[in-house]
Amino acid sequence: MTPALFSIFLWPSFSCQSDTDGRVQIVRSTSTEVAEVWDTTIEDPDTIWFARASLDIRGHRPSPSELADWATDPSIADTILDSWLNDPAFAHQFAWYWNDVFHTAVWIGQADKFQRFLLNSEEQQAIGWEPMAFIEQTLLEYQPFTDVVQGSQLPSNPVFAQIFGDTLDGEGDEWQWITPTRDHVTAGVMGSRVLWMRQYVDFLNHNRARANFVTSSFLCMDYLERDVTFDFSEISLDVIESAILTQPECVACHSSLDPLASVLGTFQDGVNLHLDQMGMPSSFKERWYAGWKEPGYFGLPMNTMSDLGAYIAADSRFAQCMVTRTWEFMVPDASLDDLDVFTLASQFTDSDYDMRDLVKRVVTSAAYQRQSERILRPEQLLGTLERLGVDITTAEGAELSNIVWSPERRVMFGSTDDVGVLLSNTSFTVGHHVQLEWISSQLTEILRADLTQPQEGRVLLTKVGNAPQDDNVLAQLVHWKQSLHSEYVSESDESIQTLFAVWSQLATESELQAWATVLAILVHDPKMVLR
Amino acid sequence: MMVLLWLISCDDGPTKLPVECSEAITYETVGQPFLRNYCTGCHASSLPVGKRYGAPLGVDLDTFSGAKQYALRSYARAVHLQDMPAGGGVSEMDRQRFTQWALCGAVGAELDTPTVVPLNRANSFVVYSSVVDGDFDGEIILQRFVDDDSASSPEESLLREERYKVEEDSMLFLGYQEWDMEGEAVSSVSWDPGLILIAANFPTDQLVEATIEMDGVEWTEEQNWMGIQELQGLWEIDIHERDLEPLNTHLWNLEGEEWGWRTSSTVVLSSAYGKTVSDLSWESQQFVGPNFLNTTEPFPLNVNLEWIDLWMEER
Repeated sequence: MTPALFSIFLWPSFSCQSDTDGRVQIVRSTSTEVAEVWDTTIEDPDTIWFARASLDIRGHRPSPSELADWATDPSIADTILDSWLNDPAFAHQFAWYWNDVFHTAVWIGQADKFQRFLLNSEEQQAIGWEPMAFIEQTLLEYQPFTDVVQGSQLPSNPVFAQIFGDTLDGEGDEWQWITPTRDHVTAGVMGSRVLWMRQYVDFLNHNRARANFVTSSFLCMDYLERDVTFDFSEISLDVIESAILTQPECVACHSSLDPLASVLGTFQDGVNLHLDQMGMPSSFKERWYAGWKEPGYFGLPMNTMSDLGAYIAADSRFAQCMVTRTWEFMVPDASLDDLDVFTLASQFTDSDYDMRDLVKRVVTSAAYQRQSERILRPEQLLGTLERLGVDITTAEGAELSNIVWSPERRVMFGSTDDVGVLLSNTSFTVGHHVQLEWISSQLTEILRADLTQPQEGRVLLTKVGNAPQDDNVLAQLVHWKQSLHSEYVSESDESIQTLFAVWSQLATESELQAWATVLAILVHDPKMVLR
Repeated sequence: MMVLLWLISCDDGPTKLPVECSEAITYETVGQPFLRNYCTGCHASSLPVGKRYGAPLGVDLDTFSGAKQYALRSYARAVHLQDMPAGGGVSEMDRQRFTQWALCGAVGAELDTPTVVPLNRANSFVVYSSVVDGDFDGEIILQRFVDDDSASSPEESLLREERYKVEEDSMLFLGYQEWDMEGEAVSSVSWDPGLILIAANFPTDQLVEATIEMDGVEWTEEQNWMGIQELQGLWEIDIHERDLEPLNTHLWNLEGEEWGWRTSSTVVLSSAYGKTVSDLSWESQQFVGPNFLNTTEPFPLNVNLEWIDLWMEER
C-alpha cells in the first residue's frame, strides 16, 4: 500500500481566520492526528503484522513458505493480501466474526426447547452456522455486502436441507445458495430460518427485542444504550403499554422502535412446532402484528421485512455500521474515530459494498499494525492446527473440533458460548493453560498414530520417517515453530536448538515421548494463542 | 442566512462559530443518521396527525430539504435546549457532530431512499359476534377490506363480510359478501350447511352446497373442504381455542390464502400450524393480544367506513 493511496485519508477540516480587512474566510487545514492512523506503508517485513493479517483474513497462520517469501520480499504485501482475500477461507473467517453479533453457532445445543429434537452434533452445527452462512456465501459469490440484508436466496447444506426440506443442487457437503421453494422473506440474513429462533418472540414485548437486534446489528443503533431512566417498580404491563403511547420519554424510542417491531413477527416461534415450521415465515403473522402497529422505518412507510432490508441497505448508517463492525472485529483494542468511519463508509459504498476492499484498508492501516498482541479466536487456533495437518474429520482429530464447537471450551479459550457469555475475554488466562494442555494431549494421540505410519502417511511428523536423522528432526522442529508461532526461525535458532536438545535426550527412551514433549513445549508457549 | 453569517464571524466579530466545520460532516454522514435515530419516528412527512405523538404537522425531518429547513431549530431543541427528543438519551458525540452539521450550513443532498407504497391498512379486520341478551349465540361476523384483483391501485379494495358459526366441537364458514367502495354489491358466496373449518374428526369428503352470486348472476354448485382449499390456495391454518370468556371470538382469513380463528380474550390457549389440513401439528402457547381485542362490546352491524377509520386511529 503506497502513501499516495492513503493520502485520501488526510482529513480536511476548516477553521476561521480573518484577513486584513476583517472579512471572514474559511481556511482548509489538515488534521495530522487523524491522518497518522492511515498514512502508512507496509514495507518493513513485520512478521507479527503478517501473521495477524493471515489470521484475521484466513483464520489461520501463514505457512512456513509464506513466512519465507515475506521475509525475503516485503513488496509482496499487496499481492499476498489480495490472494488471501480471494481465498474461500476469508469468507469463512469473516462469517465467524459475525457470530459475535448473531450468537447462534453453539447456541442451539444449550437451548432447552430444542432438546426434544435430539439433534446430533452435526445437525446442531449446521443449524448454528446457517445465519453465518449468509455472510459466507455472500462473500464467496462476490455479492455486494448489502445482500446480507436484502439478498433473495437462502443458504443450505445437506445436513440443514434434511431438516428443513431444502432441495440442493448437486452433491457435496458444502453450503450453497438455494432458491426457496416456499414462502420466503427476501431480506438477506433476516430471512434466515434460524436467526429468529435465536432472537425469539417475547409475547410481552411484541418483537421489540427483535427490532432492537436488527437496529443494533445492522445500523449500530442500540435503543438499550440510550441513557434514559425509568422507574418500573410497582407498575403493571398495562401501565407500561399505555406509557409507551403517551409518555414523552417512552415515545422518543417507541415511536420508531414499535413500527420496526411490527414486521418482525413473521417468523413463528411456537414451542411445540417442528423445527422447519419454526423457521417458516407466515404472512398471517406478519399481518397480525401489522394490525397491532402499522409498520414503519423511522417514519417512512413500510410493509414487509423485504422493505426493511431495502431501507437498511440504502441507509447511510448501514455502511457506517459495517465499517465499525469490521474495524471492531479486527482491531478490538482501538476504536475508530467517527470521521474515519465516514470516509471508510463512503469508500465502502463507492466500491459497491466490497467487503474485501474494506478489510484490505483496515489491515493495512497503521492502527491495525500498532495494536497490541491479542488472543487468537477459537476458529483461528483450530484453523492453525488444521493447517499443521490435523484432520478433524478423523477419529484422532475429531475431538479438536471442540475448540470451536464446545461452549465450555470456547469460554475457556476466552471466547463466547452464545448464551451466557456474549463478550470475549481478550486476556491470556489460566483457562488457556488448561486448554493448551488438553490440545497437547490430543496432539499426542495423533503423534502416536503417526509413528505407526510410513512418512508419507503421517499427519504431524511430515518431515521425518522411521529412524529419524538429526537434520530431519531439526526440519520438523522448525516447521512446527514456524507454523504454530509464526516466527521465521532457522535450525540454528536458539529456540530450535533447545527443543532439539530436549528431543535428543528423550528420544533415547521413547520417540513418542520425545515428539510429544517438544510439541507440548511449543503448544504451551503463550505465542501459540497470541497474535 | 443572516443568522448563519453572524454565527460564523470569527476573531474580530462579536461571536465565534462554536464548532469546527469539516467536509466530512454532511447530511449523509451525520444529519440523516442523527435525525433517523432520534427524530423521524414522529417528524416524518408520511405520518398523519394521529401517529406523530404531538409533533407539529409540517415539521418533517425525513428529507434533506426538510432537515435543512429545520436544521437550526433541530440544533436548538436537541443540543442547546436538550428538550428533544423528549426522553433524552442523545450521546455527547452525537450532539457534537449534529452541532457541526447544523451550524456549518447543514450541507448535503437528497439521498436515495426506497419508495414503498404503504398497504391499505384498512385491510385490517373488524370482528364482532352476535350477542343475544348478553349471551354469545355462536355466530361471528368478520368485516374487513380485501384486495380487489381487478383494481388498479391498492386503495381500491372491497369490503367483505364473512359469517362463521361456532358450535360445541366444530366451526362452520357460512359464507361471505363483498361490496365495492361505492357500496355496490360485487359478489356473495354462501354454503349450506356451511364449510367445516374445525372439527374433532375432520370430514374432508363432506360435500356442501355453495350458492354463489357474482355480477348479478347466481348459481349453485357442490363443494367440499379440499375444493375450497385449492380454490383459496390454503396452506396454513391457525386455530386458537377459546378462553373462558367466549364473547368476541375472532376469526379471519387473509387474502383468501389462510384461515384461522382466535379468541377475543387476551390469552389464547392453543394454535396449530400446517401446510395442509392433514399436516396440522399442535402447539400450546400463551399469547397476549393487542388491546383493541379486549373489548366485550359487539360492533354495530352497519359498518361505516369513516367509523372504521376512526377506530383504527384509536388503537
